[in-house]
Amino acid sequence: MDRQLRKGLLEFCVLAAIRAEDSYGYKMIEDISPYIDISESTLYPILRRLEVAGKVKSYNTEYNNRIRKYFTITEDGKNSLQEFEKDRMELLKVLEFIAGGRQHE
Amino acid sequence: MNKQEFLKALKRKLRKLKRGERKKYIEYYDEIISDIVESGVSEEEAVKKQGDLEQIAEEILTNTNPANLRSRDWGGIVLVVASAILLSRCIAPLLFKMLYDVNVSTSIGIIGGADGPTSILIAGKIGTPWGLYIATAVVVIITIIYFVKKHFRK
Repeated sequence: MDRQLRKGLLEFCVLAAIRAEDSYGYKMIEDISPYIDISESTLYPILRRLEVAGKVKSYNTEYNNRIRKYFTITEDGKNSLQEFEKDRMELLKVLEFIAGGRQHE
Repeated sequence: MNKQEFLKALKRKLRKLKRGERKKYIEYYDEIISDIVESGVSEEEAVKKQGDLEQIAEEILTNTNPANLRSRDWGGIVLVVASAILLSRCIAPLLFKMLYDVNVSTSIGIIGGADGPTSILIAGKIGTPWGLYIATAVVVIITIIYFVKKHFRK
């Protein structure tokens, strides 16, 4: 997928990955990678950005004698996902336009 | 490469990042590699899966807010230079005297070994610019406090 496009979508993918329950780095990658290409080194900058923007929060828990950092979605994060849902129809139209599906109508 | 080697190398590559920010990345990779290992992959494989270190560091640095990059610490540089100059001003005359005394004692050959250090002590006391010593001590202490504080900040 195009780099710029992927970058924009990944933020929403990360938010979606923690929408239902809190998650951690490795699990997020497992959950997201079937849908879109994501690597360890792309995930963390996104998480940091979202954290700074107040869309996710993190907390540490102990697991197997080591620290595991969990991420949880905030109200702001949920709002972002809702906004994206609203844009969905618009997005679909754009995709169709780009694909040229409407030309013969 | 094992996990520790990988983390150490990454830390070096990320030295442009602020300490706190860099620590977060190291902890993140520590956790992720441990998780991959626990899923049944060898440590070497888990590290290899991360890809090229150079590229990882590059990706992190380009995605980092410039506010989290380390800036040149001019205050620290000025303090270190000032300390160095003052210290050398204090030590240089002593050093000179010591060398001179040693030369004298060896060339004359009369003055006993114990006289060397003693004469330095006396000479030091006579011609000592106390203001310089105090100023040096103050600047050096300020410099030390500055860097200790910086180390523990964030």
